[in-house]
Parts: sequence; structure tokens; C-alpha cells
Amino acid sequence: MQLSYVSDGPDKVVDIRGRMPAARRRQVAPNGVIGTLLFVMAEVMLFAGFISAHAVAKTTALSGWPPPNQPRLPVEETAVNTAALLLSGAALAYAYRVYLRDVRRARVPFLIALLLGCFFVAFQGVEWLSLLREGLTVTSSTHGAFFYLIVGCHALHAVAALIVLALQYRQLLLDRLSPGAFAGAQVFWFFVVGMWPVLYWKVYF
Amino acid sequence: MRRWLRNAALDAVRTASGLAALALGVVGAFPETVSACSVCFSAKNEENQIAYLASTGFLTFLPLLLVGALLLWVRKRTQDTEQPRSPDHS
Repeated sequence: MQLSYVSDGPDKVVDIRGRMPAARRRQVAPNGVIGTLLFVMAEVMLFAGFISAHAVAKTTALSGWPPPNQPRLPVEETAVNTAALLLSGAALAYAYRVYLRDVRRARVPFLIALLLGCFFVAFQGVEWLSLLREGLTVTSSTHGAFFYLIVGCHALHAVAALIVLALQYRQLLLDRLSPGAFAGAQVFWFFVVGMWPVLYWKVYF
Repeated sequence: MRRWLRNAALDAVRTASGLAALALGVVGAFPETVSACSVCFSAKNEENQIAYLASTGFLTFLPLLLVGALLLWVRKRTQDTEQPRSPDHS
């Protein structure tokens, strides 16, 4: 079998017999975005499993939910933290829009998104410390186990996403951040931001 | 070679679909109590049973929804990129 076509650059295939363009093959979306979307889909199913198990365990609890001897979760404080995370998502979306027109102007909104994300994780850490002091631990009850499992897993994703965003911010400062990489990281951060209100509603109420 | 592969793939899909339909027909024709069904046997109260049912539906349809949304998005993006360019770009 004779090879008739070879790739000549990222978006076209060339007929090597006559060196004429045979067909144009345009990229539907950056590889980073497609890859991240597939990863996010798997992660959504992980959280769906957690939420389902939590819903079933909650209705099985005989002594009520949360158990009477366990501390209540800080709903109001976490609402503020939720708002900070949502703002972070909005800031990153704005940064991407600006980035497509002028790379340098995207630095400030990107940094704001990054800092708000860091605030969210730090606030969660403080919240966890106070809950641990009040007696809510992984082994204290099913309520505690689910809380630390679900919220902890989300925090782990948030930290991973923040590391990626911090690395990308460095690239942005050096004018070396590619649109595909930015879009991929944006998809992952939107997953972290979008998943949180669902978890907040299911776990804290 | 490519046509042979496509026909083989289509044959495999047809065979699998036929077998699945046959299995479904056999199971449907002889209904039995499913002791492994957590919705029927593990639920302790009505609220618990609803939670089991909701989570079963949620976990069944969510992956289909995700894959469907991704395919629709890719289709839309493909249509957008395949639209003919203006004459001055050609």
C-alpha cells in the first residue's frame, strides 16, 4: 500500500504525488480542551457516585441528619466562600475573553481569579480546623465521613486546578501562554466552580 | 480494507443489538423477584426508597447526558469550522 498523503502542518493534508492540498482538516477544538472535557466527565461521575451514596445514607440515618451529638455545618460562612469561588470563575472567563484580544490585559483578571480560588481553599482549611475542634472527624459519624470525603475530594481538585492556574499565570507573564492551554485550564476550573454549588446544596443542607 | 473494516464493525453492532434484544425478551417473558435489587429490598422507609430510585436514575442518565452534550458540542463546532469562508480568504 503506497502512502499518498502526508500531514503538512497542523491543519492541512497534502497530496505528496502532486504537492497539492488534498483536503483541509481543521481542528474542532484544542486538544487540551477535548482531553480536559473527557477527564471532567469522569470526575463528574465520581462526584455523582458520592452524592448518590450521601443521599441514600442520609435517608437511612435513624437519629436524624446530622446526628444530634455532631456539630452543625457552617452554612452562612460557606455561602460567602461559595460567592468567592463563583466570582473567581467569572473573573477567569473574563480573563479569557480579554486574552483573545490583548494578552497583557488578561493578567489582572487572571490574577484575581487565582487569588479568589486561593481564598476559597484557605477558607475551607480554616473551616475544617474549627469543625475538627468541635468534634466532627472522619470517624465520628457517617455525616463526618461523607463531609470530609466529598468536600475534601473537591478541595483536592481545587488545589490541583490552582497549581495549574499558577503555572499558567507564570506563562502569561512571560507571554508564552497558548490559547489551547488557557482554554483547557479554564474548563477544569469551571468544573471546580460549577461542581461546588451542587455539593454545597447537597452536603450542607 | 477500510470498507471491509466498516462492514465488520456494522455486523458486530447488528449482532450485539440482536443478542441484547433477545436477552431482554427472555428476561421480560419470565419475570422473577430480583433479590439483588437494593431499591426493593434495602430501603428501610419510603424516603430511603425514593433516594435509591433517584440515585439509580441519576447515575443511569447522567453519563448519557454528558456524552450526548459532548457529541452535540463537537457537532456544532464541526459545523462552525466547516462553514465556507468568505471569498477574500480562499
